[in-house]
Amino acid sequence: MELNLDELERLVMTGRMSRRQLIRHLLEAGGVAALIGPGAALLAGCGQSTPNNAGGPVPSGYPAVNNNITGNKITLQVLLAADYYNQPPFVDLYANFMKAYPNINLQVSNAVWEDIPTKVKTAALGGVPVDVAHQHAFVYGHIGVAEPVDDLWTKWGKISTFLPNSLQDVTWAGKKYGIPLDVNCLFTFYNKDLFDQVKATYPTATTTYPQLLTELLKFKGQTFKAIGLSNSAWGNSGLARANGGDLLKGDETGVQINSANVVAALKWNSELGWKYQIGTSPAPTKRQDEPGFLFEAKQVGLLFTGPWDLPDIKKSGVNFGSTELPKGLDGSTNGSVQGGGSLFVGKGSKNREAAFEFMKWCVAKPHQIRMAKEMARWPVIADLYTDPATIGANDPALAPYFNQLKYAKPYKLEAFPEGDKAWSDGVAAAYNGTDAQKALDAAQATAAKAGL
Amino acid sequence: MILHPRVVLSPRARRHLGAYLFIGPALFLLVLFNIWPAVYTAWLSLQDYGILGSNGFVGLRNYAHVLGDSEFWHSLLVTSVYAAGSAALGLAGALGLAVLVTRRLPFMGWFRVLYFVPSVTSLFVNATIFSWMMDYNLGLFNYWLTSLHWQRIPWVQQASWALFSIILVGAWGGVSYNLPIYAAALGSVNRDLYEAAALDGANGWQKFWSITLPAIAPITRYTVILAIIGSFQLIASIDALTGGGPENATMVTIKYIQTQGWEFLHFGYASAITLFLLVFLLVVTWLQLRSGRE
Repeated sequence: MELNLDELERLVMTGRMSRRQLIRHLLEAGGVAALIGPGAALLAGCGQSTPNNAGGPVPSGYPAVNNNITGNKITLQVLLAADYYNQPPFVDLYANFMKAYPNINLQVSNAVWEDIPTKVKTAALGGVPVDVAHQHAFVYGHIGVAEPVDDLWTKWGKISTFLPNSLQDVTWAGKKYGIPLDVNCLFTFYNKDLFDQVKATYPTATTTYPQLLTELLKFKGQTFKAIGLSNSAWGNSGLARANGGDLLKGDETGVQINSANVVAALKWNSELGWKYQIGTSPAPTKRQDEPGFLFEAKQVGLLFTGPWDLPDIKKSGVNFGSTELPKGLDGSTNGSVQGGGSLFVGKGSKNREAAFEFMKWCVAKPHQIRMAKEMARWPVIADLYTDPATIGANDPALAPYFNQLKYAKPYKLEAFPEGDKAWSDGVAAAYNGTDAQKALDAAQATAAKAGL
Repeated sequence: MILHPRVVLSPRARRHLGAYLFIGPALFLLVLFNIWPAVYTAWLSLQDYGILGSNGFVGLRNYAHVLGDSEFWHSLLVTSVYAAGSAALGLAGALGLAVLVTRRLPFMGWFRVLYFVPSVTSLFVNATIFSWMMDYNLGLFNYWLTSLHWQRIPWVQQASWALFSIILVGAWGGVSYNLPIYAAALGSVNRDLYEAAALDGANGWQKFWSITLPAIAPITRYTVILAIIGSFQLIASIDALTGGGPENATMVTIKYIQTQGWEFLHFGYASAITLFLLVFLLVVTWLQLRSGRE
């Protein structure tokens, strides 16, 4: 058995190996002799409380060891989305981080994206805040369960290296509550074969909603549908943005769910289903990925989705093209909804600086590159986009996405739970056949009743 | 010399000490997980309590708000419709199948094994399976319908269908749970009554209506109360299938409480609704038991 003293020291110092286990390990490795010398030194060190101020090795491209947090033992509670936490880039990151900070033990848990809010709120309410959580930091900053970290940002001094839009995900009322992790946005995929079959013209970056409708109507009567519809609140906010609609007032203090541009966009999209009968029936909340499945199964001609679907679309063998979202009703608007996520420190965390350090590692260039290449999760560091090949983004299908990203904004209505629900209900009602104006007037009234 | 005071137990206390020791652990758990949360909920209901703690005592303001909250009353109506629908379908189905399983029909041995499976499977798992079967675009139910050249049904997508679909899922579970109860009840009906009725020329339906149903009425009362209380605890299938939508069509009261608490962070108000619901259920149960006595 190979005796790796560095590794043993780390395990003992972080409390992950007891003295009894250490003795057994040393005896197995070299008999009683192994206990003399380094072994004895290690044993002597186990019981002492003197902190280890030395950091371990840091891989190239990651932040240097922060000596403020190398002292005492720290257990960092990290809550990541279920489709991130066990991916190879993250698993390697945990190991490297704990090598650099032998005194820090990462306890990583996970939850599906929709369940993270409840977990974060439960932890906050129970007085045991999560040290690092993964969602949209601005939401938690607004409701008061995230720690402001502006001082740590200032100390770090790297704010200018981030995509400006990505910072919106961590900012509320001028304060920053976390570090953005990745970005994406809604754009368009279309099935070239199905468009050819009905003799429809492919959408382009200048196509408007009415022009697209003319083409999509050519799908009527086919066994496949023109478009895979979704009644997702997030997605439909992007389709409204494409028409210049904004669900929040300029200062983000109130909602305007029934503003003219929002109503017009929702009307156009929802009527594709119940009125023109050329869209699929939107799936319920828990099945928002269904339009993607239908596109991959060649059952729909067009899909508004994000870049995360690209690997599966490629695997499905669909002969596809991609472009930006329609340019609104008259071609004068350009917009989409920005997705992705950010990391934040739970309010009351005793390990605020260590948590921030871990978050800094998550946006280190080598890790961001691996996230892009291995997980199709796109970086928040601006200069990684200088050479798309660096992040494996030289695929022509992604070019429209990168253009679209410049005009995308986060779905900030999510910070107002009652407004978010009112908008979701309004969207669902419109897709179920209620006139969009009527549905969104009702939603606005509900939001107003909640004081928004 | 130090004298140690002796604890003197009365003969009555000595007699019961063993019993208290035996029930002590269970009592402790009951207090910890049932009584204390209920008391804490009552305290919360009198506060303006948010995610960061109490913003102050508000007395009965949360209760007054409940009375004027149209969405709460809507949720109570939805729950009541669900309770009536799923109880009626579930209990009728259970009784009908119980009549079958008490007869000597082929494959009844297999059926007796299978019918209880839904009851021992997680509610959320059952509901998730139904969410696939009821899917508009890819579901099994719509595949069957289109195979027969019928229109697809928006089982859980449209407000007009969603509650009915939830009732079907609830009734399916209710059949499974109540079937063995009814089978046992049917087995306990006095056979002499059927023989006497046969001698009087009664047919099968008359025997069922005039002998079986009255004989199993106490069991029916019990299953109805359980079904209603169970209906007011419904949330798993709502979460898996509709999330309370579309357009609040399946917003049952427990889901509404969860929304007020965990989505909107009005914990005080959510607690007030919870206690309001408790009183409502106590009244319903009392009325039901009273009608049974009469």
